[in-house]
Amino acid sequence: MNKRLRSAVGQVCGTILMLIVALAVGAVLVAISGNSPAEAYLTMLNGAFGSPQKISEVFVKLIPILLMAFGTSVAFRAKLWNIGASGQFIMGSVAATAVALYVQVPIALRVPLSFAAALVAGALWAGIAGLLKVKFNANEVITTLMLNYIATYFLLYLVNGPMQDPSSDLSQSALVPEEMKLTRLFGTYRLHSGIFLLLIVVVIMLFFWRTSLGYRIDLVGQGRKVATYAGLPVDRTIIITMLISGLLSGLAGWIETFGIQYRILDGIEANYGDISNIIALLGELNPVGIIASALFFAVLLVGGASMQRMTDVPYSVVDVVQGLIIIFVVAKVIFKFRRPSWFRRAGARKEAAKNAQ
Amino acid sequence: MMKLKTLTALGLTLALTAGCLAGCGGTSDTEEGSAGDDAGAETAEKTRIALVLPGKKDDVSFNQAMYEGMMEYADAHADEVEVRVVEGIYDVSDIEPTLIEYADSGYDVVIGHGYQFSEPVNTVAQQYPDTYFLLGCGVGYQTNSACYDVQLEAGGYLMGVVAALATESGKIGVIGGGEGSEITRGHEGFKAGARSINPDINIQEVYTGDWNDTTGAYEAAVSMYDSGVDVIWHSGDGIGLGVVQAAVEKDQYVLGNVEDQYTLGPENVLSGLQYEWGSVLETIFADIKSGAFLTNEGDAKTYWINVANSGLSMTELNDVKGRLTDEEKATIETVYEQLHNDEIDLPEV
Amino acid sequence: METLAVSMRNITKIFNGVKANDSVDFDLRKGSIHGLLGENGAGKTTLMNILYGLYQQEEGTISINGREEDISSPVKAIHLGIGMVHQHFMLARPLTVTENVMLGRKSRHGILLDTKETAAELAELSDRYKMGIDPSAKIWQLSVGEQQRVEILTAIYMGAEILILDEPTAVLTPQETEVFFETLRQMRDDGKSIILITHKLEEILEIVDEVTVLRDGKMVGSRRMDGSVTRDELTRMMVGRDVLFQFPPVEKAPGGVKFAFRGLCAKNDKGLPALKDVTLEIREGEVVGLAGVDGNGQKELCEVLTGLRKADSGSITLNGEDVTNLPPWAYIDRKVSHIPEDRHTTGLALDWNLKRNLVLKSFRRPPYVKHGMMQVKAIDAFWKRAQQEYQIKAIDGDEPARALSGGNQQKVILAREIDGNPAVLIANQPTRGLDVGAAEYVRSKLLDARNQGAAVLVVSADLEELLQISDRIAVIYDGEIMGVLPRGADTYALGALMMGKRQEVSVHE
Repeated sequence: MNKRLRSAVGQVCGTILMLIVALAVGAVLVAISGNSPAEAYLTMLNGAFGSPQKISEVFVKLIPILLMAFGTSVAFRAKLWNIGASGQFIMGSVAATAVALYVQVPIALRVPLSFAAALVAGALWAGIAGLLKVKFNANEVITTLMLNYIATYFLLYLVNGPMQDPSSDLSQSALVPEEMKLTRLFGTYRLHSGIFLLLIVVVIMLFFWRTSLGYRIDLVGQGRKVATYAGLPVDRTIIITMLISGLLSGLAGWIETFGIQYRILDGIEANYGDISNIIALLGELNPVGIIASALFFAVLLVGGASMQRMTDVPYSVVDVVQGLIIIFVVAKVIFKFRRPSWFRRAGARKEAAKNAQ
Repeated sequence: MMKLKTLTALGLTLALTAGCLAGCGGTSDTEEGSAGDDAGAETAEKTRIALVLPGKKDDVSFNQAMYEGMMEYADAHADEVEVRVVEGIYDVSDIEPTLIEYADSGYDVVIGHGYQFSEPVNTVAQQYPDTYFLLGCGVGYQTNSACYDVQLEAGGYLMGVVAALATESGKIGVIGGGEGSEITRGHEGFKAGARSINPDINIQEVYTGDWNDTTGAYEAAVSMYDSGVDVIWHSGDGIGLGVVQAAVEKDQYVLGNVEDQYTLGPENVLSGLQYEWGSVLETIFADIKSGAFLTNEGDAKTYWINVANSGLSMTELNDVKGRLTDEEKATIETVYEQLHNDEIDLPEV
Repeated sequence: METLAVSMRNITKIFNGVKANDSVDFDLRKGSIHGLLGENGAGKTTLMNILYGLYQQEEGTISINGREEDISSPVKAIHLGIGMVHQHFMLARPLTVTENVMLGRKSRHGILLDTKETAAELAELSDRYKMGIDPSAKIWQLSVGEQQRVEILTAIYMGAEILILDEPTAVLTPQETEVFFETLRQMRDDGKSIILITHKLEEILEIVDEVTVLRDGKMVGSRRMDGSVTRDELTRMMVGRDVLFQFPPVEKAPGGVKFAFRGLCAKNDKGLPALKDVTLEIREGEVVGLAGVDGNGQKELCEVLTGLRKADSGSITLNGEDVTNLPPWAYIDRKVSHIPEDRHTTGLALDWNLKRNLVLKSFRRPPYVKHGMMQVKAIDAFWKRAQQEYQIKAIDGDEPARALSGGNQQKVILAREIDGNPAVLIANQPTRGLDVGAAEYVRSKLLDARNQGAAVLVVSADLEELLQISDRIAVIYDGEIMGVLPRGADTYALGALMMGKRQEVSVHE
């Protein structure tokens, strides 16, 4: 236990060190651009925590990125590299909005209907990639990426065509009925009741990897051979995994639509997909790690935007910090899953030494 | 282990809830503060203005015109106002939080410069009744918000006249960003102006659907020029850059908009429209000071720039190819005068 | 006093703070065969890698032919006349024997190749040492035993006077081993000095002139093999305690047929026929050994028998029920246990902790799963019991399987597969790569399963092992069962079958 605790602490320290390096490089760039790094980061912190409105914004951002990061992590644990969270998010929003606008049943029925539609649409959109993998061994990185493009352009077509708001020329649909909007919790602030759905998902995710289902998904990630050997129907589990993964992004789409945008529009996805991939990896695919990473990113995004609004520091600093984190995370992943040969040899020697013990 | 995780989950829930509650508790303080500022600030403190631009302040177009107009006003009233400009707020998901943040941190006037700000400005204006909001070329009014806009039909009319006189092939074109608002009015004016010179003129019209779609606009312009069009007017923003680039490559005439674009293509920019927001800003801030700005709910309240009030002018003719006779130049001059004196019936959209 | 070919003094090698070699002395007389004996991980290979220049020692000195040398690289070692043949061959498969030899050195004719001369010299060497190698043969055409001889040939051709052989007989049949030992004796008589790394006592007793035993990185002792050294003494030196070599035969007769397969045909991963009409019956409480050289269909058979591979034809019956081509979980549900050949990719989830590996197959089964939740308490209890019962050397079960030695990994698999009284136990190479003590333990557990009434099929390349524990031994060659011999069969008869020479042996029913 002690040893494990120590290794866990070591891992967390490593991640924190990584973030510090990224922020430090960002600071150098701020200095080069002729601004004060201290002021920039203070403004950033102030922009995320400086007023109740700002804290509200942090949570507003947290809801979709944390949900999607959870979704991503479910697939990643099975070593299914589902990078299609954004497409699944979009399809969820589209389905939910379509139900809200066109299905003429009482609101009390329309809300659960749109909720179900969003979950199913998100799940199916990921499920397609799962099915293609199982049936044709199609690489899910490629298929989910392509499905993202299809979803993005499908959305663009809808909001400029059949679903475009008749009262506006912008690329957006009409507003959903007033009664379907999620209530804002604190007056004018945008934080809405969708946060409670997030809390439910958080609780579920904290226990998910202790369920039999979580165990099966994890086992798929340990390799097809051992999973088959253990008696797992691997193909079926792959599809189930993708469905769950997509479902969470679809849920994020539903919440974002009824909590913030109240409609679908071009750009509704706002890069959440890419960010959620990074959050999942930065959090080591561990629910607690993912929550911490998502909070970090929510602060970075909200604080960074505020920094740009309130000081002359360009937003590019945030992009650079984000980019560095991506590079570190990717390097770490490559190191973990595809160690370079010199490293493997060193590892083998270490093991030899251990055996010699 | 299980217990530990449960505790973590509970702790997190509590932390989140606490965060939310803290958010609630603090609300009133901030708002009172900003309200107080508004009440007595004008004399003692500077008016704080936030200008939110969808593009870059040096885009030689829509954003630059407003930025320069704002700076002109700020320089002239350096002891009264303090201006913060933020660029590149184009994505809808960014607009609302940006407006909220300025309003919430005590800015007196928040300006959303562009049609896509319409809905967020109206929403946020209702939530922050003590802050003044301005909406550029958009729709919708609140008690504490107003629009400023350009009567582009007049400018379009003038550009139509110039294009119809300068073409040799009898084919002219017009390329716009998003369809709607002042752009559509400008296009209609352009067509009317051109037909006033030559009723049978061939006019090609394209909307790229995206104000920043430089590539789309470039491609549209190239195909127009290839089909025999020899003068194109564009209606601003990122797309303008694409059209000018195509004109330079195809060595054809192009008419600019919003800002003087001579520098982008000295051989090819025949003329263009220039917006002067400075004068209308003077009016707006004078109204804010005097209290005339606030109106009854839903009342239409738009501050216009047009040829008549010199908010809209034509840049110097740069007829490198020598297609315009002195007589034709005089015609253009005359039409400009007529527009200035409001003597031409413009199409209504 | 004679000059020693090799004299290593006080060699210490540390990996990550662990002493892989701890002040080891090693002397090799000229013109002798010297056995280096020890369990896996005792430090044998490390010591020899230092001699061959692959590792540098932290302390100690090495003298070659009486002169102290700093062997900084294999190139230096080869220059000093030291050659080494590793367990994994380093040959280019598309090239001929001659070409492989020539890869390692410069041509004597500048840029022109000296292929013919080299081939002639190799043929001569091959004849001399009765290797029977055709220098123009391509490597991929050669058997594993022949490839090994090519490695040795290459080393000698490069001028090796001191030859290090790392577990050379692991890949050979008894007949091949016999020929191989002839070669070694011839080389010794030519004045070459040979170091034979091994953990097999039989070989030490048969061929070496002197033996050095290592245990836990330390030298236990050296003995001249002049007839006074007994097997038991060597065992004690190697393991540090007495080891039971003969399992007491169980007199309880096997019961009725429990697990039977008839006319099984199946393809391998490349789509080629791997099993041809395989028929066997295993009784309740019986161990059937399956002997054969690796790659003759053993792996495919084990997979077909556990649902991991589809049979193209034939049938499998368990307790009278037809279970042919059922999915893997159906076999698991019917208590067909499987100790797979590959611990690392199949038998264990290496990144999972030991507790989870213990319930690898139990994600649907109470008491480990209830209401869809894994039952941590039940799993912990299972772990505690298994750790004690199967003597798994681990901290607390929370460490990943990757962190364990091969023997302990195998014990985790054993605990999982044997616990709960399996009906059938399919064990493919259950002791491969394990040291003597661990292998003995695994065998005893297989017998325990038999005594509980399981039908056991043990696949092994180690005939000695099969002879110890099997009630009957079947031999597989090229996907066919060549014959089934009773307990106590003659090694040579088995060896002949393993090489595909069918004899007049009746198949026992």
